[in-house]
Amino acid sequence: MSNIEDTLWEHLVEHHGADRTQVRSATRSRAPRRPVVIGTAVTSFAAAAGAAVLLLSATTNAPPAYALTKNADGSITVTIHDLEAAVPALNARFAAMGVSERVVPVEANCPISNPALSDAMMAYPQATTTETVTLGTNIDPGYTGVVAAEQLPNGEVAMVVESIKPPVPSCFPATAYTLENTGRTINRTPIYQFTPVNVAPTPTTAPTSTAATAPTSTTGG
Amino acid sequence: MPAVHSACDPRNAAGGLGQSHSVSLDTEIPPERAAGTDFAVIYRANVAAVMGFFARRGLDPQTVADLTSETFAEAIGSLSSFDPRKGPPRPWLYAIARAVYARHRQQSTRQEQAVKQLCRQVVLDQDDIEDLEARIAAQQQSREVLERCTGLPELERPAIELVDLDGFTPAEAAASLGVSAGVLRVRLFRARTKLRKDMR
Repeated sequence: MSNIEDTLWEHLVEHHGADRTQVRSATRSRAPRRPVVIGTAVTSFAAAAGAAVLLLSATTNAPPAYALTKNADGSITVTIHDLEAAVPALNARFAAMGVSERVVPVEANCPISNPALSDAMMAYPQATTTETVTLGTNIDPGYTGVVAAEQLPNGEVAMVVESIKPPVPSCFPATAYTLENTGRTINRTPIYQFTPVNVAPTPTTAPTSTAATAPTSTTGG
Repeated sequence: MPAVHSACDPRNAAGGLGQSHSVSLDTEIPPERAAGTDFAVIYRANVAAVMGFFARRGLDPQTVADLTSETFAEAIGSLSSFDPRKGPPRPWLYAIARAVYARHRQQSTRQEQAVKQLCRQVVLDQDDIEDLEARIAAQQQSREVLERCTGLPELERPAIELVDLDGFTPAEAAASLGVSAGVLRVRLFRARTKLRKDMR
């Protein structure tokens, strides 16, 4: 290494214990499951300051509270229009299906403190934006899949897909996030940025597009 | 000063993004044996590239050193998220570097800048400074390309940088930017077309 590289390394050793750090096996990490995204116009990107949010546009002709589609590959596609009605119904559906998934609302008055959330949010929001979210089946052992969902004032539902170690909280505090409109759109859908506060910047990976075959669909609400 | 230390802790940094990637090509470690690899291996294989990333941004030597150090410090802090089986670490490190640089540009208050300076000041000697100045000078051409990209949309700019300046494959660049390889290729094509048109 050159002189400056040695100098930087010494700095990292002294202040960050770089010489005592090793790459761990991925199975021991808090690596989240990756959502499998299905649909037309599947597009994803990560914004510079955080992860993008999945946005579902509410329609004016009173859609069902949620829609759930079980795909042939075992993944589940979920759409939420009315969060309050969808949370209990969807969680009951997941339990009945034996699926290790939970929908957790993001609420302004959620009593859970940021430190508690910070630990949970070490599972990383996925940098994804599309019209539907499909929950993959590759959840690490000991983790529960979580869809953190927030009903926005404009009626849209913003969602972040993660996996966390139980116990799964009953809500996430809205104060744990900064949510802002990026000003960008995909297929005329505004893209919001959903950045956890007090959480380490964590790697995310673009979801892969997968073709679904022979899905079966149900709706609720 | 506990408050300062707390602010310096990369685990307390909000924002930033990265990818779950792995140690392979740019560290010459087979993915299946990457677990247990010393962070030093990742550092050695990537420090020049990360430093180059900052050196081409018109920064002074001290800032280049500090931001490079900050990038690797954050990498240490989020190493548990790094999956050694899914790709090389450089796209992941570049994603962290972009987040570090974005925060550097956003630090608006003097208090933030002061805390940051306390945290990350790497002590440089004259040889270090000369080494950094040489690296900054070596990035002159890349800096000019970046400047030409100023008018490009957000995703197209880093696509050009990663693929055409840093030698990423489109798949690696896509992973670093959190988009699909298909989207990356489209953006790259558009960006190159615009640049060619501008240069005529």
